[in-house]
Amino acid sequence: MTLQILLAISSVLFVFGLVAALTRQNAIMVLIGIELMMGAGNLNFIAFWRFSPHSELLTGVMFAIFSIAVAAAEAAVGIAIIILVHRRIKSANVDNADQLKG
Amino acid sequence: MSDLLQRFNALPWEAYSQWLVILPAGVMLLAAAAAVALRNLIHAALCLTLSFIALGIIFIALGAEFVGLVQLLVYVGAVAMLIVFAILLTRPSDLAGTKSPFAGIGPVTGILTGAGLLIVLLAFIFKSPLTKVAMPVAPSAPVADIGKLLMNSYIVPLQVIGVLLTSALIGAAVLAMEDKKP
Amino acid sequence: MNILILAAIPLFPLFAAGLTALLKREQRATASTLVIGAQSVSTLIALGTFLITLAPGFERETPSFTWLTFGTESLKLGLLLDPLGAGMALMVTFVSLLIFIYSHGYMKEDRNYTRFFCFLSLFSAAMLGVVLSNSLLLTFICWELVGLASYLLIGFWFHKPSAAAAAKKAFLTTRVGDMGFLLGMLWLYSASGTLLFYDGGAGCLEGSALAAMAAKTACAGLAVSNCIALLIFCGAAGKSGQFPLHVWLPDAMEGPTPVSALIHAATMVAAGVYLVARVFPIFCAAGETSVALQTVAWVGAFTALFAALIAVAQTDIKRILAYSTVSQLGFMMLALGVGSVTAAMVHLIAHAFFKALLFMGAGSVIHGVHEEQDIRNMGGIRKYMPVTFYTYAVGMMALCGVPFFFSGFWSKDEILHVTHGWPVSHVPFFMAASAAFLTAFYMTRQMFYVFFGKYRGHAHPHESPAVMTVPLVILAAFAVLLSIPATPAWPWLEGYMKGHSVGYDLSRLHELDFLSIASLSILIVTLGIGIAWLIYGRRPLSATAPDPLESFWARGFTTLANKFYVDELYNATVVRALAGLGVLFAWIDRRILAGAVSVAAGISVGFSNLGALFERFMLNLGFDSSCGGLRDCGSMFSGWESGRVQGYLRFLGVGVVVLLAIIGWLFT
Repeated sequence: MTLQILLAISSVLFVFGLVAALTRQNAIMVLIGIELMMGAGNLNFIAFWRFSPHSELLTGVMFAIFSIAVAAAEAAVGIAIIILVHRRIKSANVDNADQLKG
Repeated sequence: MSDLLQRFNALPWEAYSQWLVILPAGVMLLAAAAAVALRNLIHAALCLTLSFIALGIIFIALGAEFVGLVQLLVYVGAVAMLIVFAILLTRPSDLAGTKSPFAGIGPVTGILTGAGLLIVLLAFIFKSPLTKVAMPVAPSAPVADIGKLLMNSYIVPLQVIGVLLTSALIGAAVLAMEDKKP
Repeated sequence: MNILILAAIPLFPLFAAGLTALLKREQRATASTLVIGAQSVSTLIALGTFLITLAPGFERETPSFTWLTFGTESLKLGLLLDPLGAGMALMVTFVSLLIFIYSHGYMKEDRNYTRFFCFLSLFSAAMLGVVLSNSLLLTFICWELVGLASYLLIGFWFHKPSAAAAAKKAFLTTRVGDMGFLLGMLWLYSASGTLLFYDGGAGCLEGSALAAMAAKTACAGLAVSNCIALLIFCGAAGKSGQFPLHVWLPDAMEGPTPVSALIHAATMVAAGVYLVARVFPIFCAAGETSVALQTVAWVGAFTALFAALIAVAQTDIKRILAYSTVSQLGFMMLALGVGSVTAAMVHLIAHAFFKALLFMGAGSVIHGVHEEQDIRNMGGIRKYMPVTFYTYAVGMMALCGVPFFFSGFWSKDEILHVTHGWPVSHVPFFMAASAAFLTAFYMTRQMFYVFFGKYRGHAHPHESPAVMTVPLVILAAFAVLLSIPATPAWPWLEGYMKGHSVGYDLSRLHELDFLSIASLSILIVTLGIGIAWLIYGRRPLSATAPDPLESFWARGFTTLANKFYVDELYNATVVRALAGLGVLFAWIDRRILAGAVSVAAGISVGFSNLGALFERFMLNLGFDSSCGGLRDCGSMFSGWESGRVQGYLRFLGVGVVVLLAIIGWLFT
């Protein structure tokens, strides 16, 4: 179990999340992609903590905890926005939310 | 009972500890792939949940038990449920969805970008000297220590997170409120 | 002698004038009190200085101060106290004071009473400046101020066109003379290096400077002193109304009568005579009969005769007196020309008193018949205005030279005496004698027209108030009393001027040439009065019928009545020429100069139009098109905004990947 393997795993997870955010049409899917990316980030933190020489500082752990809290808040607000937009344009399709079109 | 525990502890965990990470990692990645690619939104959400569970197991296996449990509690218990509810609330009029879930030229760009990013990241990971470290002794992250740190060094971030969560709660509630009819 | 005491004589009236100028029209009492008070103070100080000059062995005092310095040279101004100046100052202040008091009564109904007194006081200050000045420059300054005051006072009723024209005429005519004065002054300064008259030996009238001026010759072989003297005489001729610059004096009668009395009888016109008397050393520097003195004598004699002739045919009471003044000034100039300063000054002082008396009497008459000035519409005033009549008679007799009791006889006689003795020619003597005859003639004619016979006018004549008649009486008294110091038996005035004391000596009356001249003048006076009585006194005069003299010799009479057509001559020549010049210059100004201005304006307008065109087509269009280009660019760029966040995200992702790749490539 090397650090590189762990980092590679989290990179793959991140890329999956990125692809979901960039390619899926539904806003919820974009949110799912974002959550995946955030999860990959957390994995990175823990991996580096596990392999750090000063792991008694628990830096990675603290960071990961806060990251999870923020992700939760962000997911909540994002869902609220999606619901609100859905109310307006009757669709959860991101391509339909183009009122800022120039 | 303690005998069982002794025998449990005496098992060659070290030899198999890496599998404790590899297997959930594989499940996680497969579930993530599924979550990305599935057309049915509910299925995608459920795959996401599976992915989160696997990630939590990885956290526990790596020694950050508290984080893993927090992951399972918050992500699986709250975020994933939230996503499911959102899917339910924002059902499109045509459930089948004749069009492909992928938008136009989007998939090509997305996949290419992802691929490119993956290559770059892997290049970074495997080339950088920072990552060539030996695995140290398993650290311990007792909850008491986490608690102490939260209350001492990380008190300000703690309070900020509190405010953030509060405002997110209020904001979400305000945003999603029904429009008041005059 | 402190300069301030001497300077106080002109300064008191000057301050009074300044203060009065600030008063409102309604503050009449304040104005007259200020002015008359200041003049009284000046009179007292003049009397004081006069008494100082009576001291035996007093020659002169010249307090002076440096006014301007440029480099090593400096201009000094100063005041002069000598018998000539002190006597003149006393006469001027005293007569002015009497006339000021008279004016209070005469101008009482006039709305601009305050302004009148302000100008009177200004005039008094300037005149005293002329009298007391020790520097030709200061004299010139005060000379011009006197001219200004005269202009203001002649044109006092400026809303009358004739008065405004008369004031302008007076100023312009004297200005012509003053040009000569200025040139003479400049020449004098360059020739002698100083303009102070007496400066302890360094003045321009004293030894060395004078000799230098007499020795050098300038144009036409004349000595420098003669040229300077002639130029200064131009100014004197203008101010004293000598031919040909006499034309302003009769017109100056448009001013109120106190003005005529003060300025055009007693003081201002005497300033010319006084100036010549003052700079007399320059006149006679080249000899007792220098060219300058001869010119003065001939001009004076001619003027005396000329003006007397015109006066015979005039019908305005003041105009007769005006021409009489011109004639008497001619007498004074004649006396100066033949070399006798004292005769001229004695006649000047005597003339001041009785001419002022005559003018004020005429004013009283005019006031009494309610502003009628034509003598043909008067008559028999003797019965209505007795005080005026008696005082006027005293003045008339003094002017004519009725013998023995009147100062005019003695002074005019002295002039005839010295003229007779002139070695150059006897012609001026005959001219002066003829003028004396005519003087008696026309004054008697005036008396008969105004005071005798039946009243021919339409108003109700009444005697003037005391404030007007009392000065008349005082002046009449002086007219008689001054005969005492003027007689050759006790030529006190003469001795005072020359600086040596005289004793009473009746035997001088018996000198042969004095007796012959005296009897000749008595004969002249008797003839004059007699012939006038024959013509005017025996038959009643009428207002509308022609003058008896006119019916005798119509052509001559009309020529005299029209003043020898001198004014018309001037109008046709000088005035027309100046008007023509004026039209020419106006044309130049309007066409050429204005044209140049409009060309310049046109050029700048053209430039500005060019700039406007440039701005409109190059700047504005260019700017607009570049703005349009920007706008098109902007709309093109904004077209790229699809509004789809996921699309933006894609770009972001691509960019991040590229960036990372580059960083990775660069740092490994």
